[in-house]
Amino acid sequence: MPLRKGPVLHEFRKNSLLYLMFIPVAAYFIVFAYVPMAGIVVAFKEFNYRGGMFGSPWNGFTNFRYFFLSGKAWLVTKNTFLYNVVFLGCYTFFSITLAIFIFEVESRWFKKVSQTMLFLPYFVSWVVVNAFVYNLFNYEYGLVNTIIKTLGGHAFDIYRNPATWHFLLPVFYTWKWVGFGSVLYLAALSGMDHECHEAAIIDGASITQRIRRITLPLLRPTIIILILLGVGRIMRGDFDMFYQLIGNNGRLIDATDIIDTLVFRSLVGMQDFGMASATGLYQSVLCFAIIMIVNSFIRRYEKDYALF
Amino acid sequence: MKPRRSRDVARLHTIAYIAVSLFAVFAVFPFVMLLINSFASEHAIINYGYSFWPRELSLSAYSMIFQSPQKMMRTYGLTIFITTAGTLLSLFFSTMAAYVLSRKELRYRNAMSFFLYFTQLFNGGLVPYYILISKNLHLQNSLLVLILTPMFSVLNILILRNFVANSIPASLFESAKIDGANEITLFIRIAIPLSTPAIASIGLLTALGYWNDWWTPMMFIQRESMYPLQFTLYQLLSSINFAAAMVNSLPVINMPKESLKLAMTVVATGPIILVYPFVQRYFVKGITLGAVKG
Amino acid sequence: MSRRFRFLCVVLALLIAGGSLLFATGTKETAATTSTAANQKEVHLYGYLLGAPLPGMSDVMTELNKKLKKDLNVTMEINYLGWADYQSKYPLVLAAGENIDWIYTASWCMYGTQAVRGAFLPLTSDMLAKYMPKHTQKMPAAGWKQSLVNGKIYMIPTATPDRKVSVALIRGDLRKKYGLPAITKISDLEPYLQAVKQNEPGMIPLNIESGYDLGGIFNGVRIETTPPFNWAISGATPYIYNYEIAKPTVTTELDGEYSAGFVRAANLVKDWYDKGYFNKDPFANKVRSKEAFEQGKSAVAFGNSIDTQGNIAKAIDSGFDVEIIPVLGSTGHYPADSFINNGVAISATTKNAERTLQALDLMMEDPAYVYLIYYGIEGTNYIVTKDGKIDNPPGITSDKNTYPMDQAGFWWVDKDYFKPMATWPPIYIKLNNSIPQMLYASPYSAFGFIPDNVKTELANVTAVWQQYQWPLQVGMVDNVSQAIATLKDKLAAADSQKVQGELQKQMDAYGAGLK
Repeated sequence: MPLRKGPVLHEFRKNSLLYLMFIPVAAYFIVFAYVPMAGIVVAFKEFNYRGGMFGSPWNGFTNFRYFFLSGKAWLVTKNTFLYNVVFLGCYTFFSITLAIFIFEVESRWFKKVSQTMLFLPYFVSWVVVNAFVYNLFNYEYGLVNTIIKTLGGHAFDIYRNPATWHFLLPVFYTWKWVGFGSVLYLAALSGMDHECHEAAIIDGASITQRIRRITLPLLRPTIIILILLGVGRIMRGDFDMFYQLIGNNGRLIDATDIIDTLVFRSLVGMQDFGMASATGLYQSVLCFAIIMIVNSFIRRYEKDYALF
Repeated sequence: MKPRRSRDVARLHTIAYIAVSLFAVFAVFPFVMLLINSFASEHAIINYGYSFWPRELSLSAYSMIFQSPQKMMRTYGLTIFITTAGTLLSLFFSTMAAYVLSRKELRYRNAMSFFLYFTQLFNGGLVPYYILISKNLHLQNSLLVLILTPMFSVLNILILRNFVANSIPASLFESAKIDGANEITLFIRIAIPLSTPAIASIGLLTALGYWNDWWTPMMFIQRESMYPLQFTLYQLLSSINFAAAMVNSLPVINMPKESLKLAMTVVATGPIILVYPFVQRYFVKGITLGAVKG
Repeated sequence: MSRRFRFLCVVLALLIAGGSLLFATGTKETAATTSTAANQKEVHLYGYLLGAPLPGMSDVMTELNKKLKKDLNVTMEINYLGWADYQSKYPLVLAAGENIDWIYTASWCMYGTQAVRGAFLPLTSDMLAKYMPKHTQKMPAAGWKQSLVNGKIYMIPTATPDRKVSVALIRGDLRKKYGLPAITKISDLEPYLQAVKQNEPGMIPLNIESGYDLGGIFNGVRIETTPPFNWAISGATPYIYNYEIAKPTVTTELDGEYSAGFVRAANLVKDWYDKGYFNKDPFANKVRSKEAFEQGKSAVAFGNSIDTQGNIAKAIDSGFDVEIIPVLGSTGHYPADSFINNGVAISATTKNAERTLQALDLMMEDPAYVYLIYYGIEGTNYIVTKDGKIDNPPGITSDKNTYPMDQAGFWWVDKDYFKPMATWPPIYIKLNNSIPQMLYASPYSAFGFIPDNVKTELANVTAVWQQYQWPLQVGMVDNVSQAIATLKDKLAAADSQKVQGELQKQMDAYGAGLK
């Protein structure tokens, strides 16, 4: 085969079927993701309807100014990052632990029921969670405080103390997502080859040893990719959760403000597409930088586990 | 040797049962409270908060949701159709793409993965997306927008890719190739059957995504006849919220608002709880890979 | 053979993908057909309202379309933007500009900002006189003036602005039970609150949420001692002006002659908060005080004379004796709503401006149309009683009514055609009759600020105000004077002065333009 046509064409010809099989998904993302991506320019424009996205006048970095002049840019960036790191850590740890436990126990009935139960929080919206937390914990008639008062103690107000929320927010996050996460890890466990385990049992290994030496290493690819996928979203906060649970509570704001909630509060009543787009771009750029660094780091050590 | 092995396994099992049970109770407890209090009257909830034993019971939240049984049935039917069609299509093409990305001989596979992943990092925001769907593609008020727009998720494709790449031994593919199979056959005959746990779990997550999607109809569906379940409930709640603040309306005694929020969650979740145990067996059963040895 | 098979498989896969794209593409709405009956071509119009479609909407629309076809050879389709998401969806619908002829708008519903961005069609007085004769006749000139933005009219205001005042409701039965005198102003509430706190264990004196209720006590107390004021921008900002002056100065809630009143109110609410009269966590509570009030949980309710109607009636039904306290300023006034508090705008992308205007004229000013779209279908959704009042049809309770009035979003109709409601208790009728004297119409009520030059500063002021001023409104601060000092510092850091200056400039220009 003459190499005049170049290596690219050669590659396409050699694996033509594979490339063709990729087309439907590629087409979807081109249409629904890449085409609208051009709209990022709105971050640099003073949007009006006559001009639309491409005809409106440019305004440089004006749309970014409010965020960086707010005095809170560093605080919310830090909060977003740290909360997401803690969330990711808890989520990963508890999902893996629960998945292993569920996998190891014998009762089929127990596996099914417990998994279903763990999954239910996924369906409960944060609006309802807030109503629930308020009803349970409020100072005047919440269930928790009623019990405490009956037992002779003093009622406490969880909405007063910012530090409690550093603990409560990861708890709520884990509660909501651990069912989801354990399903993924459970699938990985189901797909593993268990002959190693059988061999290890014959060799007299204890179960803890087996888990540590066989299960976890075999789970490593899954763990790494799920963590990587989480890292790629590390600068995007879960707006719904924070907004519903914290709202505009001045006492708690500094401890729990994330980029998304600050933007929402600042732009309320202004509907400025450019300004909203600008902070979105800021978050995107940060996510991009972080994932590129982490991914190439992983690549160096374990080429197959990297995202790309 | 034998007693020592059983003892430590038994000990782990005990810990496992206890830990999982604790978590399961922690997870399900709010839901149970939700369920119980969805039958409480509005008056009881506002005066006494949520309790295990509501002082006054009322079915008004449910009667409000089901006040038009035909509407609810149509909503449920529509949602089931969208979820099934969407999940099947999504799974098929996602797994196919994942399979492609897992083939190590493909030179550009990393570039392709990056091509997909990049869409997770940058997006143009609501305005271009909205204009694209409604003005350029004219997809608003169609069944297609509900099925097509949420169809693919890069996270799911990459998870599937990893599963196919790491859990299926390359030798299986090689031996089949030697026997003259092409890529499509490899995909359908080998990759799919051996990836059942991953496909089942991603399938579940995709189905749940479709089932719970209220954002797509909120943006693009105006016709009430095409509202899927979550959005129907969401509309009901906002009109009640609004009616409570309303100007000249004639009063309704004890309009369910707080209890409605709870009933909505129950109504939306109910079907899933019933379906899930049937789907679950696909996760836990793996297919033995004895074929490799041969 | 295998190559062909492989190829066919791929084609099949693509067909499946393609087929699903072909199937059920967006249902194009009915195309315009030439009618032989009328001179004009039949057109189909698209309108947008806020809220959600009611169960009885399809019946009402069928009736409406019958009338519109007969009178104008027009059919109409109405879409709704839900309350929870209209703020994001409203601009999107305008930005796409697809299938939209008219849309609800109001001073509080993004009118100014959208008009300036070119979303709406400018309406000339010729157009309005020709295609909306009834409405032009009914509208006073002042009303049209209020809808001017940069010298052009971009919306059709309602001919009948709402007449309402801010009110607080209390439990007359409890007041009498504890032997307290009648209460006419907010700061006099303390003995009442104390009595409730001490003697009614299941009740919370002031059970509020953080949206509407937040300023209930704070503002009510404040306006007792300050000069009258209204906000220059709706939303979370500090900028106010005296609406009873011909050429007002824009100032903030913390400055000048408003400062002492602010401090007094802040100290009072903190005192009441510490005494436990408020619920401890209004920011997490989502149930409004007027709902808690009608259920017997809260001893006070906050709202306005219109949105508390239902609550008053319900509370009375539950056996409570309701007393209404209008919350008025030191001059006994309350700012009147402007004409642009409700209205309709024509989309800049419409192809049928004239027919849209004609249809809207009928819907706003023809009594048959007004009753249909506002009250529903006579006999099914409402009846007119012997003494000329509106009531539910016999056997239908409000929660079974498929078209409860006022929830369909047609608030811009001419309300002078309305009859009183059968459910209004005497105490409410009395209040309603006394409202016109309380209202003060300020020429600046329709002023709409265009923030483009100071949007950075405004965004930061808004964020700061929510974080540092809102807690002061309920006394959730440790030290009032310190909190006020912090608030002032943060405002200065956000360059609040710049916004204030721009506001003054625009208000002066607006005032000059009114002459």
